[in-house]
Amino acid sequence: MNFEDVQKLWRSQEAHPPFSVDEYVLRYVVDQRRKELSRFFLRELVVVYGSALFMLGFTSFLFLVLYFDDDPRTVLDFLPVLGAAATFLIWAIGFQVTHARRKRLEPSFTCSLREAIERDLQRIDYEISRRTPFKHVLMMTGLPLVSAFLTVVASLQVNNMAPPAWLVPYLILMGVGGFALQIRSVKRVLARRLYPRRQELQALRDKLN
Amino acid sequence: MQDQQKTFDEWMRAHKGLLFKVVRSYAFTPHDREDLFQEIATQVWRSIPSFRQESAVTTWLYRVALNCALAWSRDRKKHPEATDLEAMEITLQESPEAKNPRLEWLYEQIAKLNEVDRSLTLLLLDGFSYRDIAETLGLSESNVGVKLNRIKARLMERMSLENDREL
Repeated sequence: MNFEDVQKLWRSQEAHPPFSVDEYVLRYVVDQRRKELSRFFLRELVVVYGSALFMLGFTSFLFLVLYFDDDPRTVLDFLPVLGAAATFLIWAIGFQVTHARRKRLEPSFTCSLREAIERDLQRIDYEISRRTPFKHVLMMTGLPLVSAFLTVVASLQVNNMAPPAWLVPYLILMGVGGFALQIRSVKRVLARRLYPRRQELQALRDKLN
Repeated sequence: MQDQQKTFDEWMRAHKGLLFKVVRSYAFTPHDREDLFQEIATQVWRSIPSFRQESAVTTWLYRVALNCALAWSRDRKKHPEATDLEAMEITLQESPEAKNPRLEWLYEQIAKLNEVDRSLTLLLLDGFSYRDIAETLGLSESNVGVKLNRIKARLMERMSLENDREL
């Protein structure tokens, strides 16, 4: 048997395919997988935009209550509510930028294998770069926490109440705990998923060279 | 959307053999074959709008299928836990009469190769030109030539060993 015979044997599969396809089920499956993917992206957007809208609505409400309040208010009184809205907006914009960048770097299956690997590597490098612990933790935990804290302070101000004595230590504890957990989780993702993945892709690229 | 569906149906009918070859070379259990085939079909569907007719449909389909199979293999290594085959929608029905021991042996040899050499072998066996192979994988033509000669020699060596054993 020479190489031409091997090729003939290989091509004989076209005449006698090893499988048949249930076209109806395949259409259904492809449709389901497509919908699943769209649902995933939609869910992500609803969470970010929904929570951003809710926060903006709530902080606007607090702002208006403070503005039309009978008690005289100084600029300082408005700082917590404005700070809460601003920090939350920064978080939501940061999330949206990351989302757009990820979409741009989404794997493409129509380019050459080398391009697909390079693109995947870029994506992994991007994910690693945004997980340098401090930056990522600040973004994911710090901003929402600061925003929540300022919203509580603004809500208390509206009711002319002073923050209870336990609030600050409680929030500090929550913050420190949140930071520690987030740093741990980031380190795990880097060590278990992203670095091995990068190594694997680099090995695959080396095999191409 | 309707055009996309029409193109998809046509391609699936005309080129399913090509997809089966990739599936059989990268997935080795009925569950994995089903999963990979569905994944490739989904990616083909999603990629149809980006088909610019700059290359033959078969070359383009090979490109999508191989990229998809390699990405799937990497994910599979990371998440080997599989859902029950019975819980899956079944799209592939195996034809028992299509079983050919020589072909089975050939697939075994292909499975022993690394991912890149496996892709090269599939394209070589299907008679693609060095240029098409180079474009599909992003290699230089000379590199393709060197790699293919090595693969061919190894394959023929194993084949002669197998022939000796049969005798």
